Order: sequence, then structure tokens, then C-alpha cells
Amino acid sequence: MKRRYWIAFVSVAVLLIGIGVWGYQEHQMKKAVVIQAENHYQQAYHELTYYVDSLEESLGMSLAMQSRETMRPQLVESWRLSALAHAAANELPLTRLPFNRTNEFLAHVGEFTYNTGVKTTNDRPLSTKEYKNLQKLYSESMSIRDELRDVQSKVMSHHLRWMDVEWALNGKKQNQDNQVIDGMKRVDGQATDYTNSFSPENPRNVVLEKKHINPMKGSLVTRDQAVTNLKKWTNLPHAEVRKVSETGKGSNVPAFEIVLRDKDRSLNASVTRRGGHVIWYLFERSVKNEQLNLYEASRKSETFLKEHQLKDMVLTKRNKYNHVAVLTYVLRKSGVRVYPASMRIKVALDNGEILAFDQTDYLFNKYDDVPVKPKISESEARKQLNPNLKIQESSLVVFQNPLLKNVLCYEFFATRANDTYRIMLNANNGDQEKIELLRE
Amino acid sequence: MSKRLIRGLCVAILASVLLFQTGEAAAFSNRVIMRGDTGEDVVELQARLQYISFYKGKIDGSFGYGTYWALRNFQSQYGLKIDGMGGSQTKQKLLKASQYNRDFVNRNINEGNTFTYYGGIPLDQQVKKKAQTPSGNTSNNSGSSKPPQQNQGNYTMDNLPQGYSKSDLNLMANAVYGESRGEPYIGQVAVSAVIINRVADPRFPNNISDVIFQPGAFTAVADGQIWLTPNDTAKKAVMDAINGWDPSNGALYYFNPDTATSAWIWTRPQIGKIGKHIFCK
Repeated sequence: MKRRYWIAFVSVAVLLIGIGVWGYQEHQMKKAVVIQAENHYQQAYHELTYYVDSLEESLGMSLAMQSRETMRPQLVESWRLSALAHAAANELPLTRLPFNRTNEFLAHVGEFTYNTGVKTTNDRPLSTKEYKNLQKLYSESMSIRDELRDVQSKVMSHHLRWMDVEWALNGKKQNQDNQVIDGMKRVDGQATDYTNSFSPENPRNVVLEKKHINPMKGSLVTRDQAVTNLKKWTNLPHAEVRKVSETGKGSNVPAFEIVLRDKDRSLNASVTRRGGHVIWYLFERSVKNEQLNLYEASRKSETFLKEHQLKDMVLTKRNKYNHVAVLTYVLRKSGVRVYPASMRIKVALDNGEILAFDQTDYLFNKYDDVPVKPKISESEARKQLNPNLKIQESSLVVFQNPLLKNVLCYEFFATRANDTYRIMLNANNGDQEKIELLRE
Repeated sequence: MSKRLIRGLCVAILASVLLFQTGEAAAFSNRVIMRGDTGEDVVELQARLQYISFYKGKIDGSFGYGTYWALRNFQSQYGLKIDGMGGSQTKQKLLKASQYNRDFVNRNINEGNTFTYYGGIPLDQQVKKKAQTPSGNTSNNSGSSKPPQQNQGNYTMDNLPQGYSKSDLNLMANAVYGESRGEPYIGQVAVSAVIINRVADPRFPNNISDVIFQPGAFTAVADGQIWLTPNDTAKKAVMDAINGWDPSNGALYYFNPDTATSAWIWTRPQIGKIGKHIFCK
């Protein structure tokens, strides 16, 4: 009797010890992983502060220099540091915190230094405007550096952990006392002032992006009108309306989002509230085989353009995948291809049906005011090209550069061995706006 | 030994010449081909252009820029309209100016050999046999036994928009599947579009993988669901998004209102709702 009791007791004890050992090992393992993650965050943050530190110094040094040539190495250094700082900032668990504007600052420094120090080929000194921008970036870098340093010292002295930040941000009670988050919010507040005072030519500044959008023509339309427009546009007069909703205040252009159903297929679309323009639509169906080739598909899309009175569009890009073709058309205005005015048409290669259409760029980009008279001749522009390139084709085009500015360019298609390049040279000053190695 | 080879070759060439004199119409199909096309007509076009030294690239059946310039140069030298398209006139001229040994070209494509097809050089000097890979490789390849046919997908072309790599695409498909596999198709396109919008936005990293792996950005990354194998729907949705469709209308964030734990996300200006997700700026 006693013996049996003992056996039971020992086996339970062994089991408990086993669970204990296992649990301890698991705990240790988890601790190791957490420490590793924490160290990674710590490293990223220290790198960020270090790079912003060096960046501030570098910007300050460029302010003291005279010609662009002497300034160039310093600007390139700032460019490099901004890229490194940006990378470090994006390794922090701050996606949920509007720490965004520090990133925006770093992106501005990157764009500015690239445009003034790397891209520009001439040697005139910085313009007053550029110099002012540089000064602004410099003073901004100082305050951001101070705030980052402040958070850093708090983290060090209070033994704060980034893992807690991550948990706090993912939790519901975001406003709980967390010194790191408070510090980061302060950094952000600083940067807001700066963003607002920066000149409107801010590169890709989403805050200002609305201003870049072409205002829609026409009057406000009702839901029913929007649906009617869409049915007419897609040539589906009998389709059933599944859902119509209005976009919220976050959208750049107020629009209706419409879902239609036609013969067991659904169609999603967006129609602007002003003017009732169909921005895009997308049919949902699978395409199992291929009967048409690209040329035949392009005939279908050209018929579509004609039916919708979209004139002077030229085919510039074709992609074929999964038995569909996506054809990109671009507006040609007095012989100049206007790349920002583009639209895409998706054709099913089984029966030639237009599966999807998108004219976001064509509708929303501004391109009416672009001058089409070049300041330098084509032969002058050609001199900028590498003599090893064989030019196959050249034309005048309007190109929207990363600053969202429309620039008139000479576009050269050139080959070297088996590679094809597209080179855009600014038709006013000869700057190289873009070079592409075409992989089609 | 080599004598016999040469004799065999002569017979082959003679036969092919005879073949073309009798049945030129049997060559090219009568469809117009253009840049971006793939298939047997393109193989023939490339081979013929190479025969008369206009085309120096690989004969692979995909009509890319290399083939395009070769064709344009051919058209300009032969007094044709320079449009870079394989229309009937161009094909007629090309048939007259060149020869095409279909068997030779198709065999080498199927065997995966490195080869060229220049006129005036013995064909056996233009082939470099592919090193034999471990067996089993060829058996998977359904196209290896029969000649490739047009439009059967034997010729794959990396038809990705400029700036995207195959691995970007796969990674995005993984993320989209992990994040939104229960959502309607249009919702999956919208999730893909959010990833692309973030890449373009200066406040986020500027490449696909950094955006996806940014700490805290996507729950599928945090809980490991990103490593599930994506289905075709997710892949298609990604392709539609990188080709320009954005059902999110410019959104940078999205969340599921039923499961969202962050209070901050509710403060973002909303754009619209697709499936279970609310998209916002």
C-alpha cells in the first residue's frame, strides 16, 4: 500500500520537475529572443541618433562653402547620411506612431542634397532659394538631433526598453505613461513646424499633394448619375448595383465607390463626385486561355479609346501576363508625348474583353501648362550622351520628375551591346533627369 | 566521321531550302506580331533576323527591345515602313532575304542549348550543348518533348513593370496572402496597392522588402503568417496593383475595425471600406 503511494508520488514529482525544467528552458529561450530583438532596436536607435548627429555637422559645413564644386563632396556626404538615417529610423517599431515626419525630414534632406549636389552638372553657386532651404534644413537637423539625444539619454538612464514601446503602441491604452513615446511625439511636434514652413516645392510631400491634383471639371453628380455614367462607360446597361458608397475625407478626390454585378461577375469602380468621371474600373474574372496576341489586343483597346472619345493617345508600354495584356497609352500633344497623362487598359486574351481601365494619372495630373518649346537643340543634348551608345530613337516628351515637376525632355532610346537604355535629358538645361535600363 | 556529318548537313540545308521554296506560306502565321509578344512566330522572326545579322541577341521567343531594334533596322534597310512590327509586308521581305531551319532552332530551344543562327556559318559550330543537369529536370518540363506552340506559355517573359523584380513580386504575394486571404479580390488588390503607396511615400522605406518588414507594419509579418504559401488570387492581385490599379485610392494604412487594438489608427483620415478593411491616409 505504502509502496504504491510512493510510486505515485515519485512519478508526479518527476513529472513536475520535468515540466519545471522544460518551462525554465522555454523561459530562457524567450528571454534570449526578447533581448535579441531589444538589442536590435537599441542598435537602430543609436545609429539613427549618430547619423542625424553627423548629418547636422555635414549640413553645417556645406553652409560655409562657396561654389557648388567645393560643396559637392559635402552634399554627397549629407545625402549618404540621410539615407543611412532613414534606414535606421525605419527599423524602429514606430510605424504606429506618427514619427513619420522625422522620416519626411530625412527624405527632404536626401532629395535636396541629391538635386543640388549630385544631379546638377553645372558649377554655378547655390541660388539664394537653395541656400535658404539648406539653412532651414540645418536648423531643423539641430532640433531633431537634440530631441533624439534627449530620448536616448532617458532610455539609457531609466533602462527603458523598446519592446515596451512596441507593446504599448499595439495596445489600446496608447496614452499611458511611456517616456520613449512622449519623447518621440515631441520630436514629431518639432518637425511639424518645419514641414509647414518649407517651400511648396517639397519633394513628394503628401501633405501638399492635394495641391498638385488637377481640379475636376464639371458639376457635382448624384449617386444615380454616377452609376449611370459607369454603366454607360462599361457598356453594361443591365448590370445590378450592389453597393455605392462615398469616399471619406482621407481621399484626395471625392468619389463614389461602386460595385456592379453582371452575369456572375463583379465590377468595382471609382467615379469622381465632381464631373462623374470614371477613374478606374476592374472586372473580376479568370482568363484560362489565349486566343489573341498582343497586336489583336491593342486593336481592341484602340476601339475602346475611340468609343470613349479619348483622342491622341499613343501606345507606349505593353505587358503580357496570366493571359491578359496591360497596355499603357500616353497623350500626344503637338507631337510631344506627355508621360504624366497616361492611362492603362487591361485586355483579356481569350475574347478581347476590356477587363480593367485606369485613368488616374490622366485625370489627376496637371500637364496643361507645360511649355513644348525646347531651349537647347537636340544635337546639343546628344553631346551629353556617351559616345558608345547607339541612338535608335529620339523624341520630345514631358516627364514628371521625382519633385513632381513636369519637365520637357529629350527622350533617347539607345543601345549598347544587347542592352537598351532610355535616357531623359532636360530640354532646357541638359540635366539628366532619368536613365533606365529597359528589361522588357 | 566528319565527312558524314557534312554530308548530312548539306542534305538538311538543301531540304530546308526546298521546303521554303515550295511552302513559304507555311512559315510565319499571318498574325501581326509586335514588341511584348511571345511565341513561335517570334522565334522565327529572331532566327531570320539573326540569319542576316540584324539580331545578335538570344533566340528565345520573346519580342523584347533587342528584337525590336533589329526589326526596325531591317525595315529601314529594306525600304519598308519603320514601325517595329511584324506585319505581312515585313514578313514577306524577311522570308525572301533569309532562311529558317525550324527543326534546328526548335530542337536547340527545347534542349536548352546555347546557340546562334547566323547565315554562312555551319550550324553545328553555332551550338553549345547544355551541360547535363541531374535527371528529373527534363521530365518536369512538359514542353521538352513536343515543339513549342504559340500562346501555350512555353515562352515566359519577365513582364514586370520597370523597377520590380521577381522576388519583390513573390514577397508581396506572401504578404498579401498572409494579410488578407479571406478578403474579396478587390480588397487584396487594395492591400497590395497600400504596400506600393508606402514605397512611394517619403515617410516610409523606399523598397518593397523594407516596407513589408518594417517593425509593426503588418500583423502577418509579426505573427509569421507571411510564410504561408500564397495562392494564385494573391499573385494576380499583386500583378494588378503593380500594373497601376489602386482600389484603395491612395491609402497608406488599413485596419480591421473588429480586431484593431491601436487607438491611433482610428485617428487617421479614412478613405473607404473594402471587405472587412477600412483604408486610410
